[in-house]
Amino acid sequence: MQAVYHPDIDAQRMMSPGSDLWQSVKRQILHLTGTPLEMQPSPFVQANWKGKSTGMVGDVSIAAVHNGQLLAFHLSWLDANSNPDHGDNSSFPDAAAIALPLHENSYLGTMGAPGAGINAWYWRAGIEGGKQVLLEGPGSSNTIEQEQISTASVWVEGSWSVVIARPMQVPDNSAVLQLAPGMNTAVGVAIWEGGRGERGGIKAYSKDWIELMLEG
Amino acid sequence: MTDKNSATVSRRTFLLGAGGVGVAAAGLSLYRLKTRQPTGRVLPEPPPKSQIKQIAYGDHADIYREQWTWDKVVKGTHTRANCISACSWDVYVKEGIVWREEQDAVYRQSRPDTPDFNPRGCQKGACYSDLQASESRVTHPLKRVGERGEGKWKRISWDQALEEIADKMIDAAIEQGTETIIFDNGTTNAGFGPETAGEIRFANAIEATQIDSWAGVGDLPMGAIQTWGMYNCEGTSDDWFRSDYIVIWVGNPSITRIPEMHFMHEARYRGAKLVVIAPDMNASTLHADLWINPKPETDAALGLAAAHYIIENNLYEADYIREQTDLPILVRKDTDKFLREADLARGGADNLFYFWDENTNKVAEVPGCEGDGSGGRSLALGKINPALSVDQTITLADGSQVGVYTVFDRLRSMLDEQYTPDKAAEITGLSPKLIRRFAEGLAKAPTAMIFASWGACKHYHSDLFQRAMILLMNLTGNQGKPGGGMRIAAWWNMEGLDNMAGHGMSTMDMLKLMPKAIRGMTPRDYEDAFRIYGGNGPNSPLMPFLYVHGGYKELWDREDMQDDTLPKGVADYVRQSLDNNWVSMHPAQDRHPQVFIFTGCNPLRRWPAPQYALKGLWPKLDCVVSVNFRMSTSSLYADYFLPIAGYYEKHGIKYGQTYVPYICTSDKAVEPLGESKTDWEAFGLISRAIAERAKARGVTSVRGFKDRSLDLRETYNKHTSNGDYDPTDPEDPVKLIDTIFRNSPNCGNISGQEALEMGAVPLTGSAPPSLIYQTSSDYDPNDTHWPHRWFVEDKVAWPTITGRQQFMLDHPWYIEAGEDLPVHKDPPHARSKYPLRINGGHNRWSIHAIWRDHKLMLRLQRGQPVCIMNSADCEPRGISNGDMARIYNDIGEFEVMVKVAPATQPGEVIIYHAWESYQFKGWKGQQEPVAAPWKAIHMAGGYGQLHYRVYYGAPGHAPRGAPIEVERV
Amino acid sequence: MTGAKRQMAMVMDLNKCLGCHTCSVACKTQWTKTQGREAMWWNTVNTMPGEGTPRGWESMGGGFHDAAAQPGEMPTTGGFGEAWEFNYDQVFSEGKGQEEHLQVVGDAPDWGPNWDEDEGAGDYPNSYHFYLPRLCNHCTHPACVAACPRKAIEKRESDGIVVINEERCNGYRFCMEACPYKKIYFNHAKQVSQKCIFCYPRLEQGVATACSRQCPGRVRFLGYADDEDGPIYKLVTQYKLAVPLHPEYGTQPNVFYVPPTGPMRLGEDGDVDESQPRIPDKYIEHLFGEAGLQALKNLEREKQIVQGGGKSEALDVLIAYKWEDMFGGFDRNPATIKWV
Repeated sequence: MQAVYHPDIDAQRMMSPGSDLWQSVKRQILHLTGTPLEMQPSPFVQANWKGKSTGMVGDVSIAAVHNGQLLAFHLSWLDANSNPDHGDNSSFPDAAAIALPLHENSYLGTMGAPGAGINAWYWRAGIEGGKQVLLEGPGSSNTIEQEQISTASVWVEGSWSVVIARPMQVPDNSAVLQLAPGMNTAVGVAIWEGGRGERGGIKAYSKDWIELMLEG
Repeated sequence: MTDKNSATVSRRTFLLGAGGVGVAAAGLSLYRLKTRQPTGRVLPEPPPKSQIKQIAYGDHADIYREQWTWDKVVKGTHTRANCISACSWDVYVKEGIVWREEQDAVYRQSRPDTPDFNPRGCQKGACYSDLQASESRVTHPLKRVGERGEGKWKRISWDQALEEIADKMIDAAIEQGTETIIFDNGTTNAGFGPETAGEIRFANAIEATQIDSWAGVGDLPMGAIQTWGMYNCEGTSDDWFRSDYIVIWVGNPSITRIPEMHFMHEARYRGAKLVVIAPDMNASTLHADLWINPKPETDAALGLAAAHYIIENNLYEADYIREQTDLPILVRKDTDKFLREADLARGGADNLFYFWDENTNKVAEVPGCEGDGSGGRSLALGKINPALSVDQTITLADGSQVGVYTVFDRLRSMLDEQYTPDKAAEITGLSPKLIRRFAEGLAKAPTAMIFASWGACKHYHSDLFQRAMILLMNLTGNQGKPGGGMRIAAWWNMEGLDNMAGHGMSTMDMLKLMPKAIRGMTPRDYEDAFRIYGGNGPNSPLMPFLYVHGGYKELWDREDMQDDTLPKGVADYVRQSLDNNWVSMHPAQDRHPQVFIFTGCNPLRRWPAPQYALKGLWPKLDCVVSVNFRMSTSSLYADYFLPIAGYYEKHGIKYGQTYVPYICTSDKAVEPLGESKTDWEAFGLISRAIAERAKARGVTSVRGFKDRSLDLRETYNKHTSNGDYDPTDPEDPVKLIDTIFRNSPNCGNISGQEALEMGAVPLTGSAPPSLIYQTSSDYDPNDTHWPHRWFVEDKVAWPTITGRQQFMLDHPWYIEAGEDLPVHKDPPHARSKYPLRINGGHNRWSIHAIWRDHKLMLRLQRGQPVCIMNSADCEPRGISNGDMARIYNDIGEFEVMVKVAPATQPGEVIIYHAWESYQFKGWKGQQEPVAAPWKAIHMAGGYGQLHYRVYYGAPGHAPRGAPIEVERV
Repeated sequence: MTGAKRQMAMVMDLNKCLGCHTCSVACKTQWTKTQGREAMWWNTVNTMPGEGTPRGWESMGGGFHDAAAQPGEMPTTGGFGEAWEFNYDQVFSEGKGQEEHLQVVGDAPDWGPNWDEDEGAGDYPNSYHFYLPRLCNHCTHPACVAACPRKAIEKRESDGIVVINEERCNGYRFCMEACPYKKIYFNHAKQVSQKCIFCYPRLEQGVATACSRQCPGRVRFLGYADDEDGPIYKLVTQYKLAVPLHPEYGTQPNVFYVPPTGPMRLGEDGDVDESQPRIPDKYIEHLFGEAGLQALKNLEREKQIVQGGGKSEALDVLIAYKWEDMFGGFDRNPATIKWV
C-alpha cells in the first residue's frame, strides 16, 4: 500500500477520522485472522480460549497519508459495540495497532523476536493519545517512554474509524523506526474487539507484512 | 483492713461534683478500704528510637514501600466513642493529616500462664481516621433555618451561636429556673478527661437537670443491685482464660467485646468448655462447645431449673452459701418475710436478721447485716454455723409463736414446685436433658463464670434473669473466684478524676463522714455516702423523666403496657415513688423542660418510640442544642449544632473498663477540622457566654437546684474553678489531664504529658470506689483481676440489708409482684396480639450510632439497615432474602431489608442496634414500634439496697421482645 | 513450579476468628484507600457456607488440575461489590426533611463483599456457619504467574511473595481469570491488576502484615514456612493442624487454616447429638480436602490431652501466650521506625 504524500495537509485534518481527506484517499481492505492459540505464551490463556474463536474482526480498511512530517494511518472496521473501557471487568477497551518492522527479518507472526523487533503504534478506546512499543516476541512488549503517538477515533453506527499517527522522524532510538518520504517498508495491523474479551495476544491480525511505500 | 495512715482528711479527697454526672465521673475518694496494693510503677520499656534509612530499591515495588511512610506517630484512642473496650492506638500522621492508625500493642501478660492482651482494637477503631474526615462530620456551627428535622441550616459564627444559646438558657432560667435546662450525655458517652469535664462543669455551674441515663439505656443491672447492693462485676478479660466453664448468657462478646474475645477462645485450648445460651446461633456461638437455645426471655426459668438440679443432686457448695448468701437466714412461715429483731423485741430493729446456729441450736444474729450494731461491716461467721435448712418455732415479742425456716428452704420448695427441668422445659422449649447437662457441667467445673454483659439488662424481666444467674454462681461457689462468677462490667477508678468536675463536698458533709472514714470505709459506707452526696444536684432518671415530661405517659399508661402480674398500674407506682421521694424528678412535675442540650448522644435514635418524644417533648423546648462531631438523627431535629473536634484532634482520657489494666490516653495528632472546637473549649465558651449575657442583661438571681437562688454571672468562675482553668487556651486540656494523673496513685502519679506520650498507662494499684467505679477487689499487677474478693476473701459485708448476696427481697412491692424470690415471669408483651418479637443487641459494625452511617463500614454490610429472620417466618409471608419488609404494630413501623438466616430462632426478628433513623424510609427508625414498657417496681426505695441514687436503682429501658408483625413491602 | 529460596506463609485459626473484619479494614487503610482501589478488599472475610467474595468464587475455575492450567471466569466488579457512595448531603442539608433517607447513590445494590454475612446453611437449630478470612495465597505454584503472558507477576525469590509489577502489567486480567481463589482486583483508574502484597514493605522492616498484627482475635500466625522454631512449621508441618484451602485448585497455597468446629448438634430430643458434627464433614472436606478432616482429628486429640490435664505444645502455640510469638520473628513495632 501507499502512504499518500499531501505536503499541504495539516495535522489537524489528518487527525480527524471523519474528515473528507480520509474519504478521498485510496483505501485497502486487509483480511485479519485470529492469533493462533499455540502462539499464546501462557498455558492459562491457551486453556481458557481453547475451542473459542478469536480474532473477531475479519476485515479492516486501511489508508495512510503523510505530509512530510507526520505519518497517519486510518483504520476502519465494523464493530457492533463500542467498548471504551473495562466495564465490569468482563470486557476490554477496543484497540488497534500498526506494526512496522525494525529489521528485515522481523517476523510479524511471532510479534518479533529478540534482535528482530517490531515497532508498534497503539490506539486504545477511551484513552487520549496512544503509545509506541517495541515487540520482541509474544508478551514482550516494552513501552517506549517518549510520547510520540497521536490517535483519534470515532465510533458511528457500528463502525470504528481510527487514526494513528506519528512524526516520521523522532529522536534517535533503536526501538523505533525512522521514516522518510520515499521510503519503502512494511506494515501490519492488529485489532482487538474488547467487548469479546480480546486483549493481549487474543486479537485479529494481518498475518503477513503488507508492503508500505511512503510517497516521496 | 483499714489503712490508718491514709485517714487524713483533705478537701481534695472529698471533691464531689454537685451534679450526678459530675459525681459519677469524679471518683469519690474517701478512705481506702484496704491497704493500697503495690505502688511501684510498672512502665513499658521506652520504644527504641531506631533510625531506619529507607533502602533505595529503585524498582517497581517501591510504590508500595513509599506508601508505607509517615511523618510522626502520636498515641490516640476513641475517647467518646462509648465503646466498652479501651484500646490504645498509634496514630500515623503524614503531611498534616491522619493517614491511618494501628494498635499500640504494648500490653503485658498479667501472669506467665495467661495470654497477654495484645493487640486489642477492632475494625471501627481501625478506620476512625476515615470517619473523622467523612461526609457526616460537621465542621462549622449551624443554625436551623427550616422546620426541625427539615435539614435546612445556616452556617453561623461561634459568637452568634454562643450568644443565642446563652440567651435561650437565661430565658429559661428566668421563666422557670435552671432545672428546666436539660443536659444529657447519654450514659457513658464520656471520657475520663477534658472531653467530658467541660460539659459536667457547665451543667453543674448552671445547675441544669442532668439526665441519668444509666438505666435509661438499659444498662443498669437491677438484678445485681437487688442481690448485691452494687452492680459492678467484672475483672480483666485475661481472667476469663482461667475459667473452666465459660457461659455466655445473653451477651454476644464476639461482636461486642472484639478485643477481649480471644481469651474465651484460648481458654478452650487449655481445656475450658465454652457454652452459649441464646435463642439464635449468634457470632459468639460459632466456636462454642455447647449451645443452649431457649425461647427468648425464658432465661430465668432455665437458670432456676439448673439451680434445682444442683440442689437436688447435692452439687452445691454449702460452706459458700452459708457464709456468702442470705439462703440460711430465717424466714417467718406466716408472712414469708425475714425474721427481724423488731419481731422478737419491741422497738427492735427491722434490719437485724437471724440464722439458726447449728452449734448452739439457737438463733444467732446475722453478722454484717445492716442492723448488726457495728454498721454491717463484716460477714465473717465466727463461731456461728448457720443451718441451711430449719424447721423451728420462735416466740415473738407479743408472745405469739411462729414457725421459721430459711430462704434456702423457701427457695428449694419453690424450685421443686415450679422449676424442675421438666417444668422448665415447657417454658424454655429446651430438652430437660439439655438443662441437666448444663447444670451438671456448670456444677462440676472447678471454676465457672457467666458472661452476661449489658445485654442482660435490656429485657423487661432482666433482673429476674440476673438473680437466677447469680444464684447459680453462688450455689456453685464461683462468685468472687478467679475465672468465676457473674460478669457484667466494671470500671477502674482514678482518684484524680475528682478534678474533672471541680466542685467539692461541704465541710459539714465531710464531718459527717469522719467517723466512718476513720474506721475505714466499707462498701456499705461508700454506698451510704453516694446516696447522700449523689443527691446534691438535679438528676432525673430517664424513664420516669420521659413519663413525666417526655410525652410518654399516654403510651405507658395504655392497658396493654401494664404488667398484669402487678396489682397496680405504672401510674400508681410512679406517684407513690415520687411522693415517697424514692426517685427524684427534675424539673418538678409542674414545670416543663425548656432547653435541651445533648452531647454525643442521640436520644431520638435511642429512646423508645421516639415519635412520642417528638410529639410530646420537642414542642415544649424553646431551644435544642446538639454538640457533636458528626451529624445524627437527633442533631437533625436540633436548633443549633456545635461542631466538636474529632478524637484525634484533641487530648483526652478514655474511660477505663476493667477488661484491660491500663488507662488509655489520646494525644492531639492534628488540629481540629474547620471551625470545630474541643468539647472542653466549647463548653467553656458556653459557660462564659452565659456569664457575660447574664451580666449584660442584668440578671442577678435565678432559681437553680430546688429553687435555690443562683447567680448566673458566676457561671464561668465556677466552670473554671475561679480561673484555675482557661478553656480557650489550647494547652488547657493537658493541664487538666496533668492534674488528673498526678493525683492518681493507681496510675503512678505521672504527669499528664507522660500519660499522653504513653498512650496506655498501666495500673499499679487500686483506687477507692466511686459512684460507678468499683470492682471490690484490689488490683495486683502480677495477677489477673476478678471482682468481689473483698467479700469472699476478706469477709467484708455486701452492701445489702442482709450483708450478703441476697436472693430474697421482702420489700412490699416485690412481695406483691411475686418476685421476692427469683422466679420466671412472662413480660407484658407475652399477651400481645402481634406474633413476632424484635430482638437484637449491640452489633459488630458500630459503636451505638457512630460508624453506623460510615461509608466504609456500610460497604461491608448491605449499605442499609437489615433485619434477620428465619425462613419459617419468611415463607408464609412471601418474604425472600433481600426483600424489603414493613415491621409494624399499633405504635409505630419501619421498613427494612430482610436477611434470611437459619441461625435465627423462628419467631424472632433480629435487628441489631443503633441504625440512625435517617437510614430508614421516612426516617422511621427501628425504635418506632418499640414501646419498651418498664418495670414499675424498680422505682422502689426505702429498703436497704433498693433505693435510687444517681446511676443506681432506676427503671430501665427494656426494648427487647417488642411485639410486631412483618409484611413484605 | 516457580522457585523461591524461602517462603513466607500464614496460618489462620478459624476457631478464633470473630468475623470482625479488622483485618480487612487494616488492609484497606494500609493499601487500598487511593484512587482506583476504593472497591478493593485485598483481604476479605466471608461467612461460610456462602457465596463469598467475589460472588460464587468457588465455582469460577482457574488453577491447575494435574498440572494443567484450567479455564477460569473473570470476576466482575459487581461480583466483588462496588464502592457504594451515599447521599449524605441530600439527607443532612438539602432541606428535604424525611423525604430523603440515607441510601446508596445509583442502582440499589444487590451484592457486596460481605453481603451474606451470618447467613450460613442448615436448618434451625442445626444451622452452621463460620468466618473465612481470605487474602492472596502467595502460592508455591501461582496460577496468576503462569497465566500472565507479559511476565508481569513475579514470585520473589527471597520470600516467595507474589507481586504484580504494575509497570509491566497491561491490564489483560488473565491473572484474574486464572487465580482459582479470585483474589486479584482490577484498578480501573490505573488500568492494572492489583492484589495483596503480603505487606512486603512491612516485612522488609521486620513488621508483621497489617492483617496479622492488627487481628484482635489473634487468628493469624506468620513466618517462614521452614522456620522450625516458628509457628507455621509447628502448625502446618509438625502438628498438622493447619491445611490449605481448596488444595484441589493445584496452586499450593501458602496460607493455611485450622479448620473450624461448631457447637455440638442438637438431636431430635433437644439434647446434644454427638453422632455427627454440626459442621458436616463433607463441607470441611469440600473446603480443605481429606487433610482438613485429619487436621480436625489432630486438633481434637490435642484438646483431649489438655482436658485430661496434660500439656499440648500445639495448643500452646494456638493460645499464643505471648502475642509476638505469633509472627515468626516479624514482631517489630512499626511505631518505632523513624523514616529519614
